[in-house]
Amino acid sequence: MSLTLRIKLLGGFFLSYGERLVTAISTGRSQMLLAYLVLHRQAAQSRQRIAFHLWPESTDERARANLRKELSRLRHALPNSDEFLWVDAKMLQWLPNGNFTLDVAEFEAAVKAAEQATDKSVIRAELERAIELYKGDLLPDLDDEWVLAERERLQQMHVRALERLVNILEEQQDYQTALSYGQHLLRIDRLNEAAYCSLMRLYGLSGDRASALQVYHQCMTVLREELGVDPSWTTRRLYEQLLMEDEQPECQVLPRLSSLPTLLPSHSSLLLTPLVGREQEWAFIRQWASRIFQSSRDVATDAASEVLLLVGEPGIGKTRLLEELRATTQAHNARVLWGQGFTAEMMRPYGIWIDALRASMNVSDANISAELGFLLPELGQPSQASFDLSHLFDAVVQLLAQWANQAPLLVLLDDIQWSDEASSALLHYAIRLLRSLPVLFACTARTGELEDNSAISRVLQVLRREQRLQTIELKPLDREQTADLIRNTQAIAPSELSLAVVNRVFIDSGGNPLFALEIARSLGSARPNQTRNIEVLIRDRLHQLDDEAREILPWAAALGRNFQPTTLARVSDYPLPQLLKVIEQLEQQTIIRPNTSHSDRLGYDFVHDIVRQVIYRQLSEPRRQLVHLQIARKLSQQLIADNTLADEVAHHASLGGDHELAASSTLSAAERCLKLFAYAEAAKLAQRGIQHCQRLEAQTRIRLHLGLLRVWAIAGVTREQAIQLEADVQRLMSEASELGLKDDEAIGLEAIGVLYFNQSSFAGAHHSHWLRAVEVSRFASPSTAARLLAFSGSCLAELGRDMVRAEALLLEAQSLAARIGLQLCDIDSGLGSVHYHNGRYAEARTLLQQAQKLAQIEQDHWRSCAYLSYLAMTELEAGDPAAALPYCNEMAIVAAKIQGEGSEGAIAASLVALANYRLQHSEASHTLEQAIATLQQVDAKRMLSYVLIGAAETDLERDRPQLTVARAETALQAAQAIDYPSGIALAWAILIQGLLALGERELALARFEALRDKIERHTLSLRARTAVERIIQQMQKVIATSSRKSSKNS
Amino acid sequence: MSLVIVETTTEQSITPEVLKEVDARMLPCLEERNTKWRYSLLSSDRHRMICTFDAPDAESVRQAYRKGGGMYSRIWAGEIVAPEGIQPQQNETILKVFEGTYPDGFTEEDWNEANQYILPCYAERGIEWVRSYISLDRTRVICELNAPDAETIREAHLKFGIPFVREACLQQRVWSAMLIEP
Repeated sequence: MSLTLRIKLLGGFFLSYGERLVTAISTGRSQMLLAYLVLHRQAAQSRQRIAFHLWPESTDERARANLRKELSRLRHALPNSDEFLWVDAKMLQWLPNGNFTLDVAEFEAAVKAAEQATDKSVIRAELERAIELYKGDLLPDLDDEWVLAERERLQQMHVRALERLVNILEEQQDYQTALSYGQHLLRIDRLNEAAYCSLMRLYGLSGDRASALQVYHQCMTVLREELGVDPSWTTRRLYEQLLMEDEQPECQVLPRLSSLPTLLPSHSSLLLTPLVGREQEWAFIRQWASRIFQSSRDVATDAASEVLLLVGEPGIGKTRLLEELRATTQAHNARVLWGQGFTAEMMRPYGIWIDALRASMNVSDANISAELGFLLPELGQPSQASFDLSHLFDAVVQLLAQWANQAPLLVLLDDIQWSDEASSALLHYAIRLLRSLPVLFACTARTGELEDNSAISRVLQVLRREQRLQTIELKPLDREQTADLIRNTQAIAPSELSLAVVNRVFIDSGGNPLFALEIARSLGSARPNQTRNIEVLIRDRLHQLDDEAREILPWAAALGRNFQPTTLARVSDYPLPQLLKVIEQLEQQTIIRPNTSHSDRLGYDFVHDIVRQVIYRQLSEPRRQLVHLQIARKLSQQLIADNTLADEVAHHASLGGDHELAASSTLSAAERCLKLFAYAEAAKLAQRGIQHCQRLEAQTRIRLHLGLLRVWAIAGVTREQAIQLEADVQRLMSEASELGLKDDEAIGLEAIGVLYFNQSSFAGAHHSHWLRAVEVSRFASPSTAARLLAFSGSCLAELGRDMVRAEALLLEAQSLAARIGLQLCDIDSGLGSVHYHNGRYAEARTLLQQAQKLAQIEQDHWRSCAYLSYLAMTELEAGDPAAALPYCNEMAIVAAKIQGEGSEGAIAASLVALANYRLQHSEASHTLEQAIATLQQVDAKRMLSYVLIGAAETDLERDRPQLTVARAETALQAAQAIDYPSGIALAWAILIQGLLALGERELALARFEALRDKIERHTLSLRARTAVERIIQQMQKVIATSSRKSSKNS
Repeated sequence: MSLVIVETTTEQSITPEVLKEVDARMLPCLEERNTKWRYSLLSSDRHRMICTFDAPDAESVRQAYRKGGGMYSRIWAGEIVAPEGIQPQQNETILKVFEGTYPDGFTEEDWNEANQYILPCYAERGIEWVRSYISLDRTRVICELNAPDAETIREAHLKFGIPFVREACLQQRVWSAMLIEP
């Protein structure tokens, strides 16, 4: 009996036969030859090829001679060599069935076994075995090219095995073992940042924060030294989280104190003035918000008002109610997202969302889409600009959904009358898509100002129409409530709070809480003011502040939004320590208050926007201009590092009168808007920037003006605007030409290209030349963005999948397309498909016919065919097969015009066959069989299942149960293969009906039970849902009859 | 899941490395249809491309192409055949594609017989067979080979006596390929 030959190539060459070490194969080339053969043992290898790999530098002849020599040595040195080697004149092979072991093969087998196993303990055991087998890299002393490739493959396999093992051990909470493998991973690859993160997390989980923090420092040092970069955002956040945990040791070591946080009011509620009055409103809001804590299914079914809108005049207490809602829901462990609109930021795209998301992000937010980096650059900018707005929207929605799956989520948006257009569109999208999750939205808006913001007004109008909006209009407080307010806030000393004082405050303020408090404060001060004007009252209070505070306030007011002390110190050139003292004073005087929406950054805002306005209006015009100019220049110093500040710089530079900075930063801000698909904001900014260009010297003016015109063109213009725009571009281009400004001329050419492309889109033609121009421009124009949205939406709708998202995408596409008067057949067909899915056949027919006309005009034969097939299907489902026939016939004619091998002809024929089968025409049965065979041949499973379901229904009606069962069975298989939920449900329902008709009760019951729980009814079309409900009722009766029978028998 | 092959021949150069609107349209559309792009092979003259997908059926890929405006000449469902044991990797520097059309189809025996003889013939010429795709109706074959040049493959086929292979020689196409992966 032969002994076992043991070959080890990992970590170095090793060979033994039985117990004996084989040392005769000692030279590099001999070892290499053996290794080559054994690693390629699955097939015979030509001598020529082996010689080439082993002696690549030698001539063919020389290499072959070397091979002969080495082969002879190998055969001589290898014990029992004929058992392992097969040799002929041209070929060599290591025989795979010989009695030998190979560490590489064992390693690969263990990794494969781990990949295929599902049991965690088996996976762990196999991975541990694989890692044990991997003693080192493949033949580390040899550096032949083929070895390098193989070595790298095995190295990667090893690293993946280690990573997977660390994850499994972490899941199993075996942190110590996980740590040792994690360290092993780092020894192999010291630049593996993910390994550092794993170690930090594992040390943290095992309670060793000091080591966790050390790992971070090690990571930072290595990355800086080797790559000159800092750790990624994720690693930094993990470090920060560990640091924060480190700062709360008392809670950890003193368990008896651990209940304190729940007994104390939250930080935010400590800052709130007491809620006075509003009992009815508050009771309603609490009731409304309580839905968020119901199970997600209940929220989904009770979708009547997932959006709450609080409206009222300024100072009436809208924000206060929103804050109360935040405190209450946070106490119930819900997550709250807080966004704030600012009047100065109506052109900052997604401003309200950016602030809200930034404040709520934390390290546990795994799986963040790269596209979120467009909004939050600190996450890292995606490498490629997106053409598709839905990616950006989906990135936000996915994050919100991720949070909502962890805890109920409340999105609070204050002062939405100042929200930008892009934020409004995203809000609408998110409301639609998050409908089935525990997410609620509450907003506030000023009465009278909401109408000026057409974008948010449109959203609210749609929500109202769909009965998803609950509006509460806040009325003034009554006399008693006003008295309570003054009493609770102690604006007037209790001893001085007479009935006369209450009456005066109530009458003068009209029950407006903000006004009432100002009057009360004035009356309680040393120098009471007799005025009835809130602005005068606030101004009076400001006069009582010390000089330093009054010096700082204009800067804070001019910033126009909430601010961080560091920003304020920088723009005002004020030393930070002194500034912090002033801030303290202003906080005590209830002029400003901490901004509680940011969890990790200290920020402040005025107690009310009215206070900001009063301070701002007090500034003289020249002073105002100087303040803005300084802010613009200070902020512009950061522009290179953070281009998201461009719109702020533009705003201040414009008010500060620095036309060049205003025009250039407006151009940057407008280009950023384009990247974010915020076309309305981009167009407005471009127009604003152009006004600044007029006062600049020629070269700068031409460059910036052309750049802004290009942005405007991309953002989309009407036909009339396009004519004017083109004339302006031409004029500037000739000026540029005269001055020899070639680069600027090119910008102009691009702008004209974009204009032509967009205009040609109106006519429906696609000119590849102009399409290239648009692609070169790096931005998706509204027409491109609308087309992509319409495309994605119609794609989903036509598949009958994720109809909520489909509709949301299509509506957004419709709104973008309307901006530039664009008509897209995908929008009509997509929305038509949504109606078809929901059984609204009349609406579906109208839209699909419209889509079909557009496709005809555009000579898009494939779309034409597709829409005709949907129309035929609509008629078939509406119960009128005769009406389907003309569409099918037209489809067959159009299908003939389509180039390339397709399935359109087969689909048209199958729909004709189905319609005729339903109409009981002669020969219909034979034609149907032929059509089904053709569909199978072209491998079109969706249509196959559709036609089979239609035929099976007809068979069932006409008492052909056997045929029904056979067809439904095939339809079910086809629908399952393509994961077509409505097809699966319909085929299943008909199959069971067929089985019942055949008298196969047991079988019907078995098939019924097999799929019943897997069918998600809310994803189905109306037709499928109806069929499922019917079959469930029918089967319940069958089950009841069977159990009655069996109880009788027993 | 089926393996679906998309063949494209165009007069314009194919530049898959540049993301175009048509790609931005097609990729999510394919994804929605549970279709996963595996990789593509592009001829060095950029006029011929073979894309491979894992898809529920050929129609899913066809619809995504039609709807997205993607160009194709032929779309078919097939199966993958590869050498037993360790599979050679695609060597991008010498990767070649051989395409054969068999209007009357061929049998499994034809295929096995041809392999038995042609693989040593390949090995002699330094040709490595990576894998092949065969259409379900067995009328179409696409083979990926690591070979020093296209002519060596043609030679190997021409010298070969089996009718099945000779037939392919009459309608064969061999080209150098670039590998494009997700």
